[in-house]
Amino acid sequence: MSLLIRCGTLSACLACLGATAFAQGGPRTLSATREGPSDLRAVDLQIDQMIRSRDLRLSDTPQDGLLPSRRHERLDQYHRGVRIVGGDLTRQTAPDGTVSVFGVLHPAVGLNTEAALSPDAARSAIGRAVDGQATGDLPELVVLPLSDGYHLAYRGQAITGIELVNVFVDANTGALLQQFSEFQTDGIVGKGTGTFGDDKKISVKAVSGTFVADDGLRPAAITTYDMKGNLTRTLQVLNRLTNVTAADIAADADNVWTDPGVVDAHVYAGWYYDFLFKRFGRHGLDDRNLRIAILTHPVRLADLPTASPEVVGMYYDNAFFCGTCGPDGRGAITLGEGVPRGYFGSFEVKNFAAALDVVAHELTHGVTANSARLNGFPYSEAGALNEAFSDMIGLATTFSYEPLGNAVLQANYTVGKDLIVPIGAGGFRSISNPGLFGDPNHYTQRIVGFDPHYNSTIASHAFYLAIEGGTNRTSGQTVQGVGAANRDQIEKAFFRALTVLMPSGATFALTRAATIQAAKDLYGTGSSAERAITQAWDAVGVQTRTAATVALNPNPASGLSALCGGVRPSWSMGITFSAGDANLRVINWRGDYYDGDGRQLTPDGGDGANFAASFGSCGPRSDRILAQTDACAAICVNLEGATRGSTQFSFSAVDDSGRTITLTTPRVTLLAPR
Amino acid sequence: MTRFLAGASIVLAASTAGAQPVRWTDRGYVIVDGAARITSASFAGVARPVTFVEPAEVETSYRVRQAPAVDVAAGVRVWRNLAVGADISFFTRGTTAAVDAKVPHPFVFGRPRSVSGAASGLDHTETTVNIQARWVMPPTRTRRWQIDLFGGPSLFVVGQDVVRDVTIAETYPYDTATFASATLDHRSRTHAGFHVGTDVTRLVARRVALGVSVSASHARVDLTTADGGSVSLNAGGVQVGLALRFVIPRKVPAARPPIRRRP
Repeated sequence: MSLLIRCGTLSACLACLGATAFAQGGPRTLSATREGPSDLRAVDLQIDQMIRSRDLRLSDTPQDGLLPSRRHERLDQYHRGVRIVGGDLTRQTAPDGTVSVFGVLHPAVGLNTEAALSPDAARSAIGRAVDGQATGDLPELVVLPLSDGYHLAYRGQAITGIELVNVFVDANTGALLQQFSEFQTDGIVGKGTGTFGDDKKISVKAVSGTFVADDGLRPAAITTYDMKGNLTRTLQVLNRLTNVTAADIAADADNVWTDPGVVDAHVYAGWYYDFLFKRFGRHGLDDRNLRIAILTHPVRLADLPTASPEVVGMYYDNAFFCGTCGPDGRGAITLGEGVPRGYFGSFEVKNFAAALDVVAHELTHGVTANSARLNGFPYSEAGALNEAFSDMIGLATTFSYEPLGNAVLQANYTVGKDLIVPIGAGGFRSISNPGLFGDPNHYTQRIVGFDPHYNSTIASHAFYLAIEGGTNRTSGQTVQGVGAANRDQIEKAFFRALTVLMPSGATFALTRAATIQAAKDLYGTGSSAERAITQAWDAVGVQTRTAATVALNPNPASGLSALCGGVRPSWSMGITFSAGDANLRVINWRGDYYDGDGRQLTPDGGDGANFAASFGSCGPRSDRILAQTDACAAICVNLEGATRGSTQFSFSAVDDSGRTITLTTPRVTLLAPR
Repeated sequence: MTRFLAGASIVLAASTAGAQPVRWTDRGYVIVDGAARITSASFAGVARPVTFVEPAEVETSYRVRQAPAVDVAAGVRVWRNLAVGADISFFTRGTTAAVDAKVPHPFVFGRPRSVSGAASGLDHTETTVNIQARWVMPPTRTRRWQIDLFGGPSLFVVGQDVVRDVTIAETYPYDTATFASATLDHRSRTHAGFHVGTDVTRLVARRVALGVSVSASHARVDLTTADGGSVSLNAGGVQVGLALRFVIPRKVPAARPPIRRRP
């Protein structure tokens, strides 16, 4: 990167920035605070120099609703005038100087930024790459860091069937490099409820003799649309192929609103706006009163029997936020219609507007999209954190409005509790006891490259422990929480971290640092909030990631009767290889298998090329794992017909200094199929 | 109540003291009183205007202070010292009110904002038509002095500006508000009551007398506001005034012309 070239020598830069700052090869997390080991002053000077050289460019200056005297800058990293995806940092400044810097920077891109494809040609390539239709916006030329190195890419969007997809294509060849859905969903198959007969006040406007669900009392426009079950139109609106009209806004003739889906959606969105303002001093999703758009009734219940599973999963049994959808392309949430009893069995999923925490969860994605921008790509931990913060703030909203309890319209730590009928039978996730829903409560249980909702509970459980205290079920470590009466301290610290401290490529470890810094900012060093948050992250096993690790999940694994390599039974598992602070190149790997009596079966494995062919679940297949990134694979294990046994995997890799490291997963028990 | 009954009893005692009461011979009277209402009245009311789809609670304490009143009475003697007449009394006063309101929150049920303030200049009017029996007692044969004792049913027409709502100053997030003004309704009601009193006058000219009057009147009047709230007030009160009496003298029969005989 040009900054480092101007520094003179790389080693000189490393010396001035500290070992955790800008090191050669791959992205580096930057976590510098006044109390931290990094030389904050030196980092500060380097940032200023990068700004002058336009390698860092200001993208936002968010207001600090909690500490008005603090200034915040959000800076995007550029390489020869081209933005590096995921390269950005936040800098917090007090009147007496810089307080903290958090970021992910790419120190040695070394990439030619002359693109062979024109933006128009790239747009066509984007559509072709995903077998969809590119949106009208011209794609952006970016530097895309993947595990096999940096790519000059065009980033654009395309509509594919029922989704809006972010697509990266090679700027020279048009080949697909990466894609991910723009819809950030809370797609949990569960049970639900509808409206509970509770009276609510709904802030609307009177227009031409009728009343429309357009909030006229809050500073931000909050508009609830009734798509009247027209999926085609819903898709057109989401994908900005057509504009919403006044006729799309939910309306009522006598201002006595009887559509519970509209009422709950509109009211809860207003309450969420109020919660942000009262708790955090924030003015809406972007802190500038960005309008909030909510789409209700995207489909008809009557159409459910003929709906495809994809449509059911997206528009009936789901809610999602789309950051570029809706009017003016600045985001909208869509609330699924729910699923009646009988479709999934004995339970019913209510309209997704019925749960305050779910509406607040989706809207928090809007906050994230306008602050930390944790988009889930290319760092999958960021995706999990995105979901985690939505759960945290979503549940925090319910605690602000609802009495404690496990019944409907009461607050507890289960996400989506109110959507499932019979009530009390379920929910989507528990942040107090993630294991209740099979989610991880400890960093060692994460599955990289897996559903971000799954991994999210590592962070949200830390949030819970910091408030309520308790003992982590995996580590056994006990946390002294601040207590429910002081929950606002933890909420504010985490929210502050999300909105002004965390970069888009945040990892769990960086989030730990940012939330601790936020607690220090708000409550002082040594405060109970800082102590609780530190203990909570310790308890869930999130530390600064330095050493490489490998993990094999789940443990134990339950057998399936499915074939695997032509053999029954089988075990479906995930392997994660996480680099620490050094780049790694895998040179060989090996799988060992044991039957129920402990006899070793035929091992398998291969060299680096074989590894690259197998480990492609978290990104492009490569034998290289850049520092702070992961490689992962979904595998199917068989024991040559044995119905139980165990397995473990070993890896050998070489780091940048030529040192060979060997890592072995724990030996995982494979249970007999049931 | 006690006060005017005591006054009445004094007058009664005076009238019965003379074993041979002097006969009142006038045909009737017209009395104009310039009086002062010497009692103040306090009353309260509650209004529950619907605000943000939830009833507010506006409690108002009214106070009607002392003020001038005007009385015009007229009557005719119907038997011995007894006259029957009518009296019209008019009283008006700007009232003040202390307002305490709980104004609903625009976004949530059950979280009212408390505001307090004062309203002044609220109109209060009482127009009373008194049907009056008046016992007139000249204490001396010169009839220069005259003591009247009167009483009877009354018809009160009461008008009152009542607070039916408040306007508040509020800004997002609307968790607090400040009182800006009271919204008034003018309500009026007609209600029966009674009155009693006494005049003491002295002739200052052949047909004009001056004196003082003390009277009391009372009626309980319930006013309802547009939203079903109510204000109960005690109309009337004790008033003291200067009485100007115009005497309508007895008709003296014209002298009969002499009977002329035919020669």
